[in-house]
Amino acid sequence: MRGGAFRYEFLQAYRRRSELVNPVVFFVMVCAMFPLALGSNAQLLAPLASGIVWVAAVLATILSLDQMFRQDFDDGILEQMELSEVPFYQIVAFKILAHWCLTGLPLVILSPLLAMMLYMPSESYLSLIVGLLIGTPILSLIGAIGAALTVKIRRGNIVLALLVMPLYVPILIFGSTAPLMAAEGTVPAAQLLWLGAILVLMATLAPITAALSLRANIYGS
Amino acid sequence: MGNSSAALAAPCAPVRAGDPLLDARGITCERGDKLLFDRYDLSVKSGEIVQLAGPNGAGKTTLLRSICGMFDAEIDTLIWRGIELSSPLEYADELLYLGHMAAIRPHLTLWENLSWYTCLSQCSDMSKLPAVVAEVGLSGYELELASSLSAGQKRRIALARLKLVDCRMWILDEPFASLDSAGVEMLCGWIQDFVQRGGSVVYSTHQPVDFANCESRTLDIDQKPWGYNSESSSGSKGESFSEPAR
Repeated sequence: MRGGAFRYEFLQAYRRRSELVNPVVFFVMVCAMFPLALGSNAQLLAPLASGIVWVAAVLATILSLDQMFRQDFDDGILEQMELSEVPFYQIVAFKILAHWCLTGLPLVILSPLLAMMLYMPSESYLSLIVGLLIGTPILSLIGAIGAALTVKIRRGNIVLALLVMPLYVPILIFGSTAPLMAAEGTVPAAQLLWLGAILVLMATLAPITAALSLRANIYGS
Repeated sequence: MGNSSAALAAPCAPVRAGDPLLDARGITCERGDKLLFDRYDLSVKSGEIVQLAGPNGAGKTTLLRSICGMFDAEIDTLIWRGIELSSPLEYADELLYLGHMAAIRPHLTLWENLSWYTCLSQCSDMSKLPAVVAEVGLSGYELELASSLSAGQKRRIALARLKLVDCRMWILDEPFASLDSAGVEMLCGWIQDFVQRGGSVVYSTHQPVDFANCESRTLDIDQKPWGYNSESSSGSKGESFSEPAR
């Protein structure tokens, strides 16, 4: 029964893919504009590549957060889920997973292509991909807390961005420095392990926190 | 999954009409600065229809949401089938709430919407789905996206849940809104049928509905014993006349 309930989360996310693909297009456009603005200069772009890809990934995620719970909240679907027998935090966790599969995962898949365009040294590829693979779920998890808190605010986009931006800073720092270290020939173990630790922490706490915030918003409506 | 059948039997077991089902005493709700209910008592028996009446803004929705745990109300004593509970959420799986919002996913088809809903409850029966869709008069629309259906049709999808899930109490907030006369008749029949099987219905409506052979009573929630109507929204005044009641 639970598996069935979750299947529909993915189905709904898939049907709404045109909305969810927007952040991916945004991600590609931002990365593509840097070589246009700065000139196609390998010496200049190579050290910047990981930073550009990571900043674009963070901004693209922020753009997509607002839609995570809004429609289900407005339609009264979250209300029904809260009353149901399936624990609410599990439903929220699966909504976050569905969000990551449709926005975070495409960013990870596209990142090597964009890194190539930005002349990233070949030693850095692996740490960029691994970093994004660990980092983008964290972005979705932290973002879910912000999205749950602001679900009742009309045009809450700016509030949401201000809320999650400071929390994204450590992930941005760890993620973007890892490929730089790899380019120098060091294994960026510290950065990636830190990202992994944050992922474990957020995967544990974020669904519960987001579920509590949503419940508070349902109570008040 | 070994003990799931035992867990299944409990919430769906039949009840005898006349048994007290819900007894909520001392419901206190505040909305904004306004005190909507001050120590209000509501009790519902099995096999009973309770209609909440009152003008817009009297607090019908708030009261309905309070007893199903969707509004942060203070309830002094809450007794569900003879057992004292601390929160309405503890019996949430034994009731069905239909609110103003139809809880329909616009990006899923009618069929997917209803099968999603059956997944949320243990007491639901997937095999009833085709018959229920026909009963609400939506056969032929199974594969239409819910967003392409009319408001009345969406309302009918929401109502179809009443037939899919087995529970003890229906809490219906304006269930007759945007239904045609045939729909109103169908829903009245369902309510009578449910009540005769021992279920209870608490609903709010503005239109007069006649349940021929069922026990039905109307609570006019606007007539508050403490003479509240003249009061608008003053916190300090609200304090002063809730004092004598305590």
